[in-house]
Amino acid sequence: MPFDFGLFAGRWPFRRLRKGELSHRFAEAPEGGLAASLDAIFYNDPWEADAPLLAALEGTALLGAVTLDAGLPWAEGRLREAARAGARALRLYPGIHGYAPEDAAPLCRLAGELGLGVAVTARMEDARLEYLLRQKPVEPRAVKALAEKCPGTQFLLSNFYLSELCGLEGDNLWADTAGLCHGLFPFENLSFPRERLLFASFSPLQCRESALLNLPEDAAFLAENTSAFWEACYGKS
Amino acid sequence: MPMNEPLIDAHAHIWRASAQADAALLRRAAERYGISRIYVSCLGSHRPGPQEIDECNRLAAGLLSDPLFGGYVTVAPEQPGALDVLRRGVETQGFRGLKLWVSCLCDEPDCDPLYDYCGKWGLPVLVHTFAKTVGQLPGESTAVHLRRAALRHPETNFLMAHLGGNCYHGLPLVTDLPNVWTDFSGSGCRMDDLPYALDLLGPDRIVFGTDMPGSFAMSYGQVLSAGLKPEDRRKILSGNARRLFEGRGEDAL
Repeated sequence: MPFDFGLFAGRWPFRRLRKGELSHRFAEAPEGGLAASLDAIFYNDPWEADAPLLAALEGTALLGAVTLDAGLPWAEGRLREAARAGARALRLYPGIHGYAPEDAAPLCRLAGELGLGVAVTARMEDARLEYLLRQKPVEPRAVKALAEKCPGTQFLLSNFYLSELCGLEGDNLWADTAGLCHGLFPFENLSFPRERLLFASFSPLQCRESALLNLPEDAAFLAENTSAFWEACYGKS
Repeated sequence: MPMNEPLIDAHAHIWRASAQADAALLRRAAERYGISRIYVSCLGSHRPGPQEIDECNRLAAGLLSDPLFGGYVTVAPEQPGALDVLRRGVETQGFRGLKLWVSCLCDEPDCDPLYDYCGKWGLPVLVHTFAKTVGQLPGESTAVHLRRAALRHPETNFLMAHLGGNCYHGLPLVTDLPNVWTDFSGSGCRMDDLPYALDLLGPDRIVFGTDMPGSFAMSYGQVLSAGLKPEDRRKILSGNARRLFEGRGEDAL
């Protein structure tokens, strides 16, 4: 099983998650993963959800991603605090928090200096099904522009669709597989550097089993990519 | 990676513009995943004319000599001669169900003769249903429309596709209608949709579907993640489809 860059725990305000607890993530991804808090997306101060998450992950196979709204005036201070508490990545939701990706450049530059990767989340759910919260589309080219402004930071395009990823390349751009659930044998039609792909399931919002079923038979390359990503972030695998 | 259990896909397609390539993809998926039977319809544009409908149905009928495939005849109910298209599809071309897509809402009076025919001959009606917050098409039915149609035609079995598109919108509308079944094809790979459907409908009216060449993993992953009881899993993966298409009970598995 590959390292899972898209794990979440907590509550999702719009529907009941039957497997939302962190204990489910430990059970389904013993080989490791990067976990973020769902509650933190909606908290005025996401640290109220992130601090206990990072504490619970300490010494486990899962790494923690801190959630921040790049528009918050104290976001940079909180990012430093999160790094000290063991966070290994920053997860951003410009479509929910309502800012242009490029506006997050100062925060993302700091993430790079702290050795954190930055996951830019395209969507949490299919836009056609969001009738209480409508996320703004996150333009992939805008994330590429953000990455170009922050050459010392590694960016993970997270839950972008296959059609959105095609043709995107950059020295510090990576993409996860969470959005590749549409189509038969999707990896055969993906025009994105294979050595920059990382596995992500988006469990428990999406089915981890679906993500695993879609992997090509030679999915071992994802483990090498995982090591390469972390090495690029902070210099060791 | 064959799944080693009977697996019937009640909802798949070939597209008019890529019919041969789609059929090849479906065969490849059947071999890889161990799908025993795939019910297909052929689709083209949103508002097809008679010639396009005829071409679509000829393309789908061309697959039916292969035992892997069963088929739905695609009909645009608002077109003159729609009932003839259905009759020809069933009585001459070998289709086993009716497919309605987005040319008109499924509770339009034009649909009634089609439903009468399907009820009389025990043919399921697969209705595309999707309640969208963005991009809803004018002729795109939701569970609201399907409910009206199903109430008017209690002898006809309707297969509400995609769990109604948004299961939280659609499923509560059909829980009391024994002639409405549902599939979870193309409804995204949301983790809890299938358990929610089971809570509301029970295991006897849910059938496995994929929307291929859309995706297989999206639907089958939901089955794997739902932790189904073995008897419910058998019903959903094949037993219910056999009952729906063939009127056969689970003992026929």
